[in-house]
Amino acid sequence: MPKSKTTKACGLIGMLLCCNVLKAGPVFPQEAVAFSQAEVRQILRLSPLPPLPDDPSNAVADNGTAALLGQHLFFDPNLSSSQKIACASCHIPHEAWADGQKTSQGVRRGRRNTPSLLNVAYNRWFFWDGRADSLWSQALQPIESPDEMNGDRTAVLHYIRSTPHLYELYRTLFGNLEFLIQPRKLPTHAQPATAAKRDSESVQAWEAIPEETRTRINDAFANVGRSIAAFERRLVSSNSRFDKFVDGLRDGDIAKQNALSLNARKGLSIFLGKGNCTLCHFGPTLSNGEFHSLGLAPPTYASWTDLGRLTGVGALLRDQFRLTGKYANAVGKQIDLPTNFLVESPELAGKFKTPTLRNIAKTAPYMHAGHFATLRDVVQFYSEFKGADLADHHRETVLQRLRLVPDEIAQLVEFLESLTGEDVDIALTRPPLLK
Amino acid sequence: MLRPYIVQLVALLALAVIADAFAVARSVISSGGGYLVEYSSSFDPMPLNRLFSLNIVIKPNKQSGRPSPLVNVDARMPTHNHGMNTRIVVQKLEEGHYRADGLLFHMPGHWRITIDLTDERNVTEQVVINAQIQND
Repeated sequence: MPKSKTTKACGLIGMLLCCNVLKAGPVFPQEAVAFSQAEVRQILRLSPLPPLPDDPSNAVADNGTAALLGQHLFFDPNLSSSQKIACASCHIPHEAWADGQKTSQGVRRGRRNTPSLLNVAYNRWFFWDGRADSLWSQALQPIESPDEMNGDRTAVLHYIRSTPHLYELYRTLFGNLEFLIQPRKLPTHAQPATAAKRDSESVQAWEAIPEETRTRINDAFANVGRSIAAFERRLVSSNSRFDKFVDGLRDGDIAKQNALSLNARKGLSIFLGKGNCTLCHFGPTLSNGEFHSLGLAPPTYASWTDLGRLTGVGALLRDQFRLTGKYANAVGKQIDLPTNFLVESPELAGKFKTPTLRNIAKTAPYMHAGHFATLRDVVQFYSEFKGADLADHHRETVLQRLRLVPDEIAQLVEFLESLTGEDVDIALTRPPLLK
Repeated sequence: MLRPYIVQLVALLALAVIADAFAVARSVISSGGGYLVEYSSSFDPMPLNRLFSLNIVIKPNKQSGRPSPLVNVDARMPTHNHGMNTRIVVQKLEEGHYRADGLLFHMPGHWRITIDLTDERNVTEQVVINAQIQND
């Protein structure tokens, strides 16, 4: 009760201060929005972005040579069957490392929205359904996905071996790939069967390869993923206006606090309070990285049903490159891995990963199939849940209409816009120069 | 000559480290009064969005004369209508001693942990632990 009175009072003060800005020049807008001690504690936990987490499953995660090889591979369309699609075709640097499309366009049109790669190294799970549990194993899947690059692992390894600048880097890091041609040349195209590729020539070729050689191929393919991950780990964007505000809040520095506009502060207040946003969007990435169902109906352009995390768990548990598989480097105490405790439960159907809100203003359209064109649309959805299927018995009852008024929607959007960080080093936004 | 003592010392230190990793145990009597259940968490307070374990010690009521029951552990958010995204695995360490791994509370708020104790007659008693998980 006292809080709502305080909020009203603060709103009034805010209005008065806004009038003062017009009459008497700048004021310190932090006086207009009062945060409780509990809210301040919550805010301080949202920033700064901590140092990159270690990746014990990737021995070259922080190796500069691996990052250089990974950068070459990331921008190289020769990894795809069409030789036209690279990782960078969907993770476009000037599109905040997403693609600005509702669903991704690889060799074929995909069914999911392309997530941004900014700050991707902080993730616990990868893809909207979390079907990968490490950045390096994530990087491998699009290469062989029929919708994305439609390539295969032996083709990629043959290509690296026959491309001098790539092979030099690979050999320096992981040793040679001569087993691809000696004692006899391995098939140009070979890959294990998947649900999408069962009887192709490349699958038949794979099945004809001796088990021991398959393991060597898989080891080398995992190295490709590790190198791409070493590059992607460097795509960090922080120091947003919100980060500056929090820094100022921590130091009592008014000038830094002024990085956040009055409206954005009001939006922050809604984010922490009425909006209940921090139930899922908490911590320095502003995401719990876990899976929830919002009852989103399939978009009008979708002719498919997407079970999200339910199929994601199944795919992860079958992925030979998962952290509990034999291709992960030392991962410390295996028992500490959430992957050990996954189960394909019906309760997971229709759940998708909570995205980070950092840089969210730059990654439209939104949701797992690009349902909404703007942040305003997203907030409007949470406000009314118009068109959502909330009748499902698995639904999260915490999802209640927020019934935000237009000003509140605008404030929340302005807060979300304040989460845009600095651009990454421009040298990372293009293929490395060849010596 | 000193080797056996060194081995014992190392073993004691290892036990101390393991014991220290779990918080002080709390005790609860099960729903039917048949068991005293002591539990401790590998993190105290129980953490938000981080994997943790529970050590569980079950002491059957002396008058009941029951052997150790089958133990099943679950956790849900009653006000949200969902459980965890992970599955708890219970391991029997020794008679009456269990370890529940795989707990991960991915949202702040009220979590209800239930420990079901089922005896050889298929009678189940329950212990409920209410945890308020904070994000501030």
